[in-house]
Amino acid sequence: MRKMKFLSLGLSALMAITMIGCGESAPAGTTTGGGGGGTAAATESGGGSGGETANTPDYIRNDLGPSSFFIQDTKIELSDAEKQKIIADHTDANGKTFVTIALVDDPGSLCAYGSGASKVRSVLLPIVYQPLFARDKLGMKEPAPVIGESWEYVGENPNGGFDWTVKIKENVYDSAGNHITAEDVVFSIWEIGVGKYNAQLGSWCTNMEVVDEYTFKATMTVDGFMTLDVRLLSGNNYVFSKAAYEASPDGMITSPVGTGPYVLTKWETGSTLTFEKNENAWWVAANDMTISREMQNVDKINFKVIKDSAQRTIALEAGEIDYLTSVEETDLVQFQDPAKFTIADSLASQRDTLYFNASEKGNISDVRVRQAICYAIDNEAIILGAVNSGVLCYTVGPTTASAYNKKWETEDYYNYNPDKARELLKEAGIKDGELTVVIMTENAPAYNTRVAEIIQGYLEEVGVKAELKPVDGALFSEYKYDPTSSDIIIATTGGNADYLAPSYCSNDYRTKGETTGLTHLDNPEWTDLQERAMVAGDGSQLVEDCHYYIKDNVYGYALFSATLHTVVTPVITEVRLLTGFEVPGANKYLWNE
Amino acid sequence: MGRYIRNRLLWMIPVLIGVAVMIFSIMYFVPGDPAAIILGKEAEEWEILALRQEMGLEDPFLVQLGRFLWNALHLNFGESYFTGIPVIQEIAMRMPRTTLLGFLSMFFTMLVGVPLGIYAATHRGQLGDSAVMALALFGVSFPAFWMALMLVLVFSLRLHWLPATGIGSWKHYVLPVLASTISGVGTQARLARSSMLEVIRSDYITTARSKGLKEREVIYKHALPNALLPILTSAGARLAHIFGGSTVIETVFSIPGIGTYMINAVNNRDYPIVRASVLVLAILFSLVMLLVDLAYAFVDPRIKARYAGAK
Repeated sequence: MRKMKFLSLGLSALMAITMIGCGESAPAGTTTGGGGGGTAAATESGGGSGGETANTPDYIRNDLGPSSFFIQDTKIELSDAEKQKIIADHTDANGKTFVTIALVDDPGSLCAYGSGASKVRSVLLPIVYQPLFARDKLGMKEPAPVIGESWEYVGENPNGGFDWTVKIKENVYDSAGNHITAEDVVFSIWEIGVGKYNAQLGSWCTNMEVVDEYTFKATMTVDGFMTLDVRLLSGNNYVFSKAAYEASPDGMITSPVGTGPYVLTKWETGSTLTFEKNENAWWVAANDMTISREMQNVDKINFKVIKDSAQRTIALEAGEIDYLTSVEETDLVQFQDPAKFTIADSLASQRDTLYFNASEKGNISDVRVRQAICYAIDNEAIILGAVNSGVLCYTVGPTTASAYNKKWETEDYYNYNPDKARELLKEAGIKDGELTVVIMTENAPAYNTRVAEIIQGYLEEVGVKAELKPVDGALFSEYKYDPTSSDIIIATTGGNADYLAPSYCSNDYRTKGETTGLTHLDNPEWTDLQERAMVAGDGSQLVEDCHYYIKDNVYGYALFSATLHTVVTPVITEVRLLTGFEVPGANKYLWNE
Repeated sequence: MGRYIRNRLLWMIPVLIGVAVMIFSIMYFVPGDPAAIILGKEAEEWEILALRQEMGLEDPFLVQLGRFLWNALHLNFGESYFTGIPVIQEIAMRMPRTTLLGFLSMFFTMLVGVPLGIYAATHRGQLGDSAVMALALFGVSFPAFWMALMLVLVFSLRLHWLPATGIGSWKHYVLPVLASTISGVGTQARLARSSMLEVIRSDYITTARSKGLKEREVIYKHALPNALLPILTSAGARLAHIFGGSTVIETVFSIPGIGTYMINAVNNRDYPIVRASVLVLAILFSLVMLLVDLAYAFVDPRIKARYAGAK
């Protein structure tokens, strides 16, 4: 019996040791801040956020570009023999080059509209389909034409809408050879997207109709080019042919036919998807390539569904996949060999944001309390403790928007100041330990919970108790609109990367009818400003006013954008990301040299 | 015997209705709105309400339950809320992988675990017994997900012998089956040993030995059939455990089986998938338990006689 006890203890110890050895160590050169308690993290960070200082710590990655439009040379020095071997390993029996990529989930459906694993669909849909217009460079004020050619404002119609006509190119064909006309555009975007799948465009557009073979009319509910651009032209409104859709047995769920650079050739649900180069690429024949996502630098793209993040890392290490984005900081230690891997860092296009419940009946309806909460938090320490590296944010909108004002970075964005926080709480009549706030967070990405724990630590330091409420995505969708469910919501916010106004005027901060957004506001003055800003568009003073309105009233408070790590094997000589997602056709490979 | 099987199959009907009502009710009352998830973060409340009405989620509980039972009776489990793919079609595609994994694990568990247990019982107190029990403890102690990760690290990452993830060839099934088998072997070996020891101590075994029968004959002809009864019961439960717990192994090895399908559906509140998957697993479990009961008849003539006499 005693022998068995010793054996049991020995086995437990063995298991613990092997788990420790399973990659939980931090990469060399970084300092881990841990998940719990803000005090330790604050001490390490040296406190203070806001504005770039001469002693910016190395985990504040102001040197990085955004993953929205990211390109990095990843060349590893190889001999000719090594290159030939790698190319041979990436060439199939038919002489076609291929690359293998991990997907975090099965897409569920490859119809251009509808639901499914949204992150995965963001990678796959642009491979199969094309939108009307798109951006693929930072700072483009107008989108580049893809299937579309031009747009024109017609005017306000008698029903209160705003009419636009959009002309499309005349030589667009899908991979099956179907000619794309305005009727196909209206069919795919309006009849299928809005009519069948409730695409978001339906909230912004009241009608689409064919004008002639290559022109259609759209009636928008909000005036101004920005809404047309964000919601219709550059949105994820993909075009396909009516004939191909009607010929599909399942509404293109498993048999998509688009005009994009690759064609689905094999799909084993939940396991693998294979795409091959679209040999009928219309823009190749017409010599009319306008955006990088139309490139076809590899013949075949194999996607492997690997849900578990540890397994994705192992698959990359074992050579089963060729590159991987969103690699956890703690896993980077396994990819430090420069002869085998390149780590390409960029900034995630999302921002971790605090949404404050500003409803009058709420716990933190007093703006001074909300300001105090922001002053109590050290954002740099949160970056260190929760994600290990990233950049500070100074507005709730995207820094990649061309109208983003660098001046905001030099202003006080509630820089860490616990004394001021205590003072504001005192002014608001809140005694030490009297206030308890509920912080709700979606449990994905996983670091959101760590952010909440660190904030909890900081709030305790200024005498505010915080209860954490981590919930899964489904519960989050339900609870977030309930003003009684939480006082602060921590969410990772993405959305449009080209404009500021859609972020400021999004549902998150909007009061419209029964929808009060995440901030549960009832403020007609603010609603009026939002509506005028949406019409005026980026670059107008009204949008700048929105930034200050949200900041001064602390409806929302952006914390940071995390660093996005992409690990690449030597077969890829230049890696490219768009809106943080892989664009395998646009990467450069050894065989492209 | 035929009548017994028919009766057991008929008993499955109320069991399945009970399971169906239970899983429907659980999913109905679980918080989380599929319409809100489908429409995404920018959806407004009126849009969510409109979609809920379109999906029939605003109907009273009994109406929804009645509709579900009626459709299930016609083997119509509906379509996934998110993909629109008929659930039964997806289950039909995934089920073979889960059952293959389950039965292979079960087969190897029995193949290795039972002989080890018998060996330990017949060598009680000797070195072989201690070694087998230590191995069994090893198998039982380590959780399947840990074992899976260790196997991947060794056989895929270091030795490059076997693929770490996915499906395709027989090689893809080696590590998942092994990971799932190891803990089962430990349990089965321990159970077989204790069951065998109990039988070996019986009077009729002493009688058999005193008659001068060879030890091999005593063990395999007289002791083993009686020792097998609890092992068979446990094998049935083990198989159900493998099917129910397939999520872990399928997730670690990225096997598109019923487990991963169901867990995704639970996270997305994709009710049709959850209900159908649970029902299918309930049917499978009921059939397995029926097979176990029938297997009793083959190892114990008394039970066979009872089945034959059952009205």
